[in-house]
Amino acid sequence: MKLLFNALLILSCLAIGFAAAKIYSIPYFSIKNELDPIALFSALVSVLVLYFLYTFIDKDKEDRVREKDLILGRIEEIYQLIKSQSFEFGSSSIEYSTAAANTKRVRVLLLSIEDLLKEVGVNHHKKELDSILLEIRKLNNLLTYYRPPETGEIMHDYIPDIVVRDNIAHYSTNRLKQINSSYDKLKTQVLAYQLKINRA
Amino acid sequence: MDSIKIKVAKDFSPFPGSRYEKEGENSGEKFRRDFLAPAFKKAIDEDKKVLVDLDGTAGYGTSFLEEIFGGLVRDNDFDYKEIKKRLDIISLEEEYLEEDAWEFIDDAHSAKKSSDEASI
Repeated sequence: MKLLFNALLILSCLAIGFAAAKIYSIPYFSIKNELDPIALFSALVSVLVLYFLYTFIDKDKEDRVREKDLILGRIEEIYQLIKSQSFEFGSSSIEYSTAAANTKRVRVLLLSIEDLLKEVGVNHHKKELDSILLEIRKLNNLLTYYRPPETGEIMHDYIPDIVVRDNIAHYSTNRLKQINSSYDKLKTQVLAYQLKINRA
Repeated sequence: MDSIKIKVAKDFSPFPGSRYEKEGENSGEKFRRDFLAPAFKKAIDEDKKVLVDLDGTAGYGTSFLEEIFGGLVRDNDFDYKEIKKRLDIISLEEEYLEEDAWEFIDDAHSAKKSSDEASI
């Protein structure tokens, strides 16, 4: 389809040129009815060079767009993963080791995005990526950190924000709010990052 | 100085658990008691270092890490200076964990120091 369009465009240009030459006559400008083989060869070479240059640049541009689309698709997968993790967390308890593994998985995936962006030469927006990684670190702390009892602290006064029983972590209401808010922030940050890469 | 190497994922578990043993499997307390503290004692006796490799696991909970590193000072009573001198931590996958681990050791040392001063 594209080839047909190009052929039609070239034919139209030739037709317009031919018609214009018949209608208008430009002073001091005439067309000789003879062909100089060297000039013809030079013109052909110029056309071929232009064609190959155009094809090369166009292909390079197309490749970059395709690569960027693939990476954007990968960031979308990370966004969906965070969304499903926050949904899974909705029941207010989660297996402790799963909570820890979830944040590491998101972090590792994001770092692989950074590597891919570097490889294809697209700006990876380090500042934004670093702030996402920092939020993941905070989320990991919220999901898995509770302080040990202090020396001399009476045990019934020690109420941690996370209680772990049979490997399942149960969270205090306050900690739950903090975790949900961290998930929301993380989702917004990843979406904003996706937009930045799209514009890069 | 030679090192005693402990790789958590291989020697202990690729799925580290929570802080205390009563809370479930693969706890930090168990790792410290069965692996880290004995290795540290051996390292002092034989004038070696202890190299803890944190890579290769599914991920760490912060309480697990606090328990294994902070607990060395708080519960095992190892000398802070000895820990500083002999402990090496590797974490290439999550490079910030090394910094966190030293922070846990420093915090446990400060808390112990204040508690000791208060009891005098």
